[in-house]
Amino acid sequence: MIEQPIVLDVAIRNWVVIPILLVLFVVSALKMNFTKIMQIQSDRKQDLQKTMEMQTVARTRKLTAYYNRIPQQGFLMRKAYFTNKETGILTYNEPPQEENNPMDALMQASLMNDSSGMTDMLKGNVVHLIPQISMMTWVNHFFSGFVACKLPFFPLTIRFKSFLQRGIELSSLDVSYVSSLSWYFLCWFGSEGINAILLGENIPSMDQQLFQSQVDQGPPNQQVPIHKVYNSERENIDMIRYESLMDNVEERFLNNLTKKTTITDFSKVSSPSSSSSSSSSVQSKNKVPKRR
Amino acid sequence: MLHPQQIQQQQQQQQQEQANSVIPEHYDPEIIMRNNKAVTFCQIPICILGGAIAGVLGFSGLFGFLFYFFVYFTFCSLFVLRENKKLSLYFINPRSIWFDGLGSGLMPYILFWTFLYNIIHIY
Repeated sequence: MIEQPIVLDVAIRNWVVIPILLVLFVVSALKMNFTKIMQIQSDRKQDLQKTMEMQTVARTRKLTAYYNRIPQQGFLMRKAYFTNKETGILTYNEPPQEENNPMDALMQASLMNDSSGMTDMLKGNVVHLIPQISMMTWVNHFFSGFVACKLPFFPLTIRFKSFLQRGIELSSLDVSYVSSLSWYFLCWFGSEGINAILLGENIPSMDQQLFQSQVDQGPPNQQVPIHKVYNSERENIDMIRYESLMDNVEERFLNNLTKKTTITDFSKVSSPSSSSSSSSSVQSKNKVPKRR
Repeated sequence: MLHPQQIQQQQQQQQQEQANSVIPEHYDPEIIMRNNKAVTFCQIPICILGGAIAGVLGFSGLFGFLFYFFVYFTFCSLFVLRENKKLSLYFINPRSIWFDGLGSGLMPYILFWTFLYNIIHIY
């Protein structure tokens, strides 16, 4: 069966297909810049005290994660610095908060934080939802009732006809001819990848990333009162039983060497093979610091 | 009955064996993310280019999808060939670059495929 190609009007291309693509791109660009501006504005509210608390929490988390990579003395000093019962950093913040009416302060803090978080969420939702809805109605209202383009891939089943060919009541039309709304959806899904490349910051440098990670950590921690976080972190540090990663590192290294040399000796008995294997194992040892 | 010192020694030996067997590796998730981003940064333009080529040549139906897989895997193999042995230094699982971008590259490919196909062959 040979399909007869339907010739579409060039005006449809000029005034429907290309404008939808362009408008989607522009709107997504605006959206991204808008969210960036919102982020910057919300960052200004952070005060010094809060950022300091965030930094200490980050430090304690780093310590709990990588404690076995520092010497024992260093670990003990850090532990004392954080969890000493009188002068430790993590115990410092509790007394003043408990002295002056803890419940009121907590309630106020939680209310304030909750409301700001809620408004941020709302803003984000509004920024994402309103353009989508308005553009869908725009496309549906102006460009319905005619065939906009033809999908090059195999025709979908008849069931999709009512969805893909909105506003076209032709029962004999091939399913691969679609109306403008499905072209809009195609652009929407396709442009996400393109936006990620063109509009997203290309590959952010280290400083920007650090900044962003700090910003990202902000909201969840704000909702929990800080001394609870401190308490849990202090317990975590107290729980650690110190074991150094470097305890018998030379034995392990030699073990690896002997294993590799024995394997290579079985295959071919020669001195250069052992040297090459040693160099390879040195490389494998060096892997770890490179990733940091 | 076992002597407590013996038990302690046994435990220590077990611990040492564990320490000998497992050397924990340290990954920085931000750097891993950056590396993955760099790969997708290459993959998506390749997919767009492939879609444009497919649209200009007028592929339709299943052949266009086969062309997508052809383009994608050609790019991946070239990438792997170029980075050859260093790949395991930069990714936790070097094989993941063969499959991770497959979904994210498909939609831009289809978009540009239909776009150029329509402009050249339909209108």
